[in-house]
Amino acid sequence: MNEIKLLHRQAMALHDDAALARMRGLREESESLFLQAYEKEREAASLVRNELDLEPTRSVLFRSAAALAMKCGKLRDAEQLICIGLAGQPPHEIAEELRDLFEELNYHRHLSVRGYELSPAEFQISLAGTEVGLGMARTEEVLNRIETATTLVYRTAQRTRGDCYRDKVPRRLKDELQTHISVPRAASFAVSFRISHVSEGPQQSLAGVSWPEQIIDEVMTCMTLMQTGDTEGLKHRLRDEAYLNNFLGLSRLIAPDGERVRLVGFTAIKDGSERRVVLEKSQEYVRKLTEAVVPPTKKEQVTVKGRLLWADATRPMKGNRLRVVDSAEKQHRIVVREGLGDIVRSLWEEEVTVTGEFDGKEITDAQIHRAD
Amino acid sequence: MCAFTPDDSLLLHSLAEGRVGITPPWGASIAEAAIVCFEDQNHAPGAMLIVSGHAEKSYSVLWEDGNDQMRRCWNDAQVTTEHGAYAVAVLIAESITGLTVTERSDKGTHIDFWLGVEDENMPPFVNQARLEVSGIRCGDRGAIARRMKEKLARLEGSSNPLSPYVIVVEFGTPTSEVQQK
Repeated sequence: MNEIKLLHRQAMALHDDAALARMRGLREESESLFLQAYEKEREAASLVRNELDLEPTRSVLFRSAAALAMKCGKLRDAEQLICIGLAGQPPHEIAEELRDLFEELNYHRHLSVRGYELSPAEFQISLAGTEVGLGMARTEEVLNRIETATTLVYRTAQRTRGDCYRDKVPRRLKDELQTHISVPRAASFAVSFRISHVSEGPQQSLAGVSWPEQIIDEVMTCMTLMQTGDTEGLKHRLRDEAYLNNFLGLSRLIAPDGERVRLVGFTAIKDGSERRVVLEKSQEYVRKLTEAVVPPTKKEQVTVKGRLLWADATRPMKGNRLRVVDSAEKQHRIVVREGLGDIVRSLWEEEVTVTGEFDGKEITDAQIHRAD
Repeated sequence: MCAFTPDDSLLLHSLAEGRVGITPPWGASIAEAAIVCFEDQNHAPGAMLIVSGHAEKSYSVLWEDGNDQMRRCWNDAQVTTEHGAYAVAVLIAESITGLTVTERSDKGTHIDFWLGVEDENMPPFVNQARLEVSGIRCGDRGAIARRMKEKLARLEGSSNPLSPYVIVVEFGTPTSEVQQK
């Protein structure tokens, strides 16, 4: 018994060293330590493989070894370890966690587009989480993200073409650049988007790369910068503050909530190879990132929560003006930051949280998001 | 100044000594994450943390001042909140149950903690209670209640003979809720 304990503790100590090395940016050292941790944990698990009654020891060790295998990119090993763990008599909650791990494993497999060939003018969005099954998902979790991703495509198109930010995507652009979605695929839950440029024009290609391809490449690059927390990269890429606000606001709507949707993946084809970005960090992370990228003013910030029931965009020079009605029926007058019109539209009549500076009459320079 | 006297203290730096199931470097690391979270919410050493639920207690949380190196190191808010919550929850669990973290394991995106009394002759994880931890950087009572509900739902049908503990740590107030399933 001491050997199992010894191996497991060695594995955990190596795991800690690996996690600390990763935080310090020592990638190779971290990967090597995670691999050593995995090997120790797998060895510990293998010692109890036939001890079917030794629970929860057996299933916890197999789950831990499988999780470490995934961290090392050993997906086939992870698959086998999860199955061995489940094949015993795991306690209910450990069995559920083994299944969650299996789902996550499948999600990474599904990020690779199988049975469907993406063209360079297409990208796939896939979701995983408790509200997502194989080929089935809760309607609002999917539809809201599809709609938001479509808006993101149009905003990226405007920006890459050098257009000034406008509060609403012009109809003309939607006619010129059409988006289509595929039937969903049972890959956790995945749909692909196709962007078609229907009119000839100067933006049609740049160095042999079509405009839709440029847009997809830009979306993938910005998502990667967001996911890695590269604030300087984002500011450099999205120079215009309205576009920056808009991108972060839309990203937050697409990002996982942490439980119902735990992962959102983007897959595209570039130069004949798959390019993938997995959003694992939550909407809360995007909120914090937004504060780092576009810091609030030094003035005192206030936060109100209520339903978004009034909006006025008739005076664009004065910004999007809103009213949020709180639980005490009090109306709060709000002016949101430029670039957040798309987010306001998606939150209409929803419970929202607004943070901004209060000038005695209204809350200005405000950020708005769906209430937790 | 605190309006009332805390029942006890939580010494974040004590985690750097390690526990049976926590190595000293990792203990020091999660303590740092907690310091970054508390200071991010404008708290200073001695901050009062109120615990409700399974146990009703108040603690004075003590630490040595954070520094820029810590803040640069812990720059991912989500990861920092989660690890900071581990530190606070381990100390609360020790105080409330008299047990300590004897084992940990990897469960993918989170760490799995097990509380018990060390017995070298027992296999790992046997006769130990699980500890589920969740962290919120800044949230109201509703956010804590929702997080607790989610965590408890995950433990529905648990067949472990020892009831698991769930601890949600919120750094804004700061406050914590403890439940035993």
